[in-house]
Amino acid sequence: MKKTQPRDRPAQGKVDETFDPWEQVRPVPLFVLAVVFALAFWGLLTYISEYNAQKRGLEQKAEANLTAPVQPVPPAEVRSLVQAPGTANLDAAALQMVAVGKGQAWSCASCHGEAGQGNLNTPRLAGQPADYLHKQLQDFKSGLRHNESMAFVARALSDADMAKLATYYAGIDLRTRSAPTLGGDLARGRVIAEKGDWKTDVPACFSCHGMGGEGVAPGFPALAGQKPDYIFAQLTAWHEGERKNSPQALMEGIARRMNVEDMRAVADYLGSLPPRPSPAPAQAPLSASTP
Amino acid sequence: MNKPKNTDSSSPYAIGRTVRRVLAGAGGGLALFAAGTFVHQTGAWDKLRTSLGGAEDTPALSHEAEEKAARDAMLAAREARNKDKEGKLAAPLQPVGHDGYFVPPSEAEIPKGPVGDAIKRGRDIFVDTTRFAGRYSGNSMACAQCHLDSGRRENSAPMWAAYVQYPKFRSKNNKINTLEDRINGCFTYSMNAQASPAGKAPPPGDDVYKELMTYMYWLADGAPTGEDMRGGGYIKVKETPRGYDYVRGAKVYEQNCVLCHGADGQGRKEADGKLRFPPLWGPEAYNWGAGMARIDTAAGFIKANMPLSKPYSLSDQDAWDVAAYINGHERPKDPRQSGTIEEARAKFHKDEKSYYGKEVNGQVLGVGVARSKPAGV
Repeated sequence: MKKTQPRDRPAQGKVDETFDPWEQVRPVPLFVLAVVFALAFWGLLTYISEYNAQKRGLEQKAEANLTAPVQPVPPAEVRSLVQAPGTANLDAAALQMVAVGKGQAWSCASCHGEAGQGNLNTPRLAGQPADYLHKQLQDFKSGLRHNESMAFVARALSDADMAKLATYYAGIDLRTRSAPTLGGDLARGRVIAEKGDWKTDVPACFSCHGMGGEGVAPGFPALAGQKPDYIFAQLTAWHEGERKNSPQALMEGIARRMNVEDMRAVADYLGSLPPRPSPAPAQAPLSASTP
Repeated sequence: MNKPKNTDSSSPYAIGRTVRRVLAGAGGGLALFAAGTFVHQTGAWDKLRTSLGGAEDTPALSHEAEEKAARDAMLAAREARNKDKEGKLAAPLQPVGHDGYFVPPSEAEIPKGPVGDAIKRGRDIFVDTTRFAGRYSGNSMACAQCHLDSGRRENSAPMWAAYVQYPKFRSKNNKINTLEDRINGCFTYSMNAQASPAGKAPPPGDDVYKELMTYMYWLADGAPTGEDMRGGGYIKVKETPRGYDYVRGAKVYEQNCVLCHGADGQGRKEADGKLRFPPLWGPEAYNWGAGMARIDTAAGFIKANMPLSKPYSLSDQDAWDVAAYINGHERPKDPRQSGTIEEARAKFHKDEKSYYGKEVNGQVLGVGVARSKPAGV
């Protein structure tokens, strides 16, 4: 290393004690700076587009043409909205598991709500076909369906317990709906739900899940009134191959052919539909049909 | 070698240099971003990824936009030609989608006025026949259950392909058939009109025909008459060396069909008691005179359309076998039968691939099974 020339050496009093003549000056390379900026710019654009989607979701909450506005219901009142409570299976063991839990497993109601109405990402159980609920519990227990919380809880249940819980929740006739939360295009959601997107081999949701999205026992769960976040999460799980327990891999294939915008649209639309009782033996009256 | 740099970072020289570096970095960053976006747009990166074994991304949009563009182009060409006084502009081509099949109009194109009303009523009859033409429905089927997507789906006997083929000679009844005659046949056989409240198909000139035909005419908007449209009818499944067998078909049925159509083949009901998935045999299904009772026809429908959302997922062999299984059960009798089954077989089912008049599991099929409930329930 050549010694530095004394040309621009500061005056005696201002010598920097830490200066090492052998240390090269290494500023941050320009390329690294450029990459950091490119990433920051990309992040900013993503944030802006997500913000717009969120804003659109809030604006779409009161889409009068497609669905009547969804009135929020305070959680304390949900239980009182369960119709014809006498038809719900009031098996004592089931009620115990729902309200208190069993052994190490916590209560169903602690996540799924007092009337099985669900919350955010936790699905609504009220009114689902009993066979479907039973199968999901079995799948959680065996690991065929992945969810750590549910696996823990399901392992504490015997098959008889699962049957009781499934019957209990299937008998709950809860007519509350869910507000759209994802900024999905409700008009597009309605088209996919009622007509499908046949050119991508996505049949109408209703063709299997019932004309009002109320489900068809035993294999097709109710979608009307289900939490939009949950529907969206399941569609993406099937899309990615994370969820693999759909009979004949039907939903895996369908979800794989859907794009994210359509998933949002369909999740928001289906959640906002008024639920009808699933085809259970109960004689509960049907609500007015969906638009 | 290295010019000595002033490392005192608070000097104006250093600040200026830092600012210049940051700006150069930002500029470089934007350039990198633009380059990346450009590469992404060309799709070169996705091609590289999938060629190395990565999974295909779903498209940003469904093909809806392309199909709509094809229709809009046709409509624009039509309008231009209508305005063209000298008659020099070319006739509009039929709108064809990304997959090469005709694109029927979307619901948004239904016109206002009496024609639009007729189209909507025809569509309603097509989609929910027992509700909107219940007087002439002798079973629980609907047109849209075999003519999928409300009669639009290619290779599921779409109406836009059927409409432009009529009137035509049909060997089934050895005469020229108009479209109305053909729909009469649909009611007589596929909808089992003999068990309906009216006891037969709608009479000639009935509004049911008018409305259905208006709907079909509208679906075929842009399709040239006389053309053998690509995607019309059902596909022909190649015959296999092993032939078809209903015993093998039972296994195929159990694995692929029971979920929706039930182990007893009677379909499944939804909340209000209506059938969501149609029955495939028994008193509520199509009768022995229907085209679907032929094993080759059923195999063609099944191969290209079933299970729902999984077209072409069954092998040719499985499609033949399961078609044989489904059509190896009793269903309502052929309304043309006047004497014995054997006579009807010789006269109407002689050269076809079906189990009509043949023995399956010790029973000669074709006797027919009737509804236990009175019609109209």
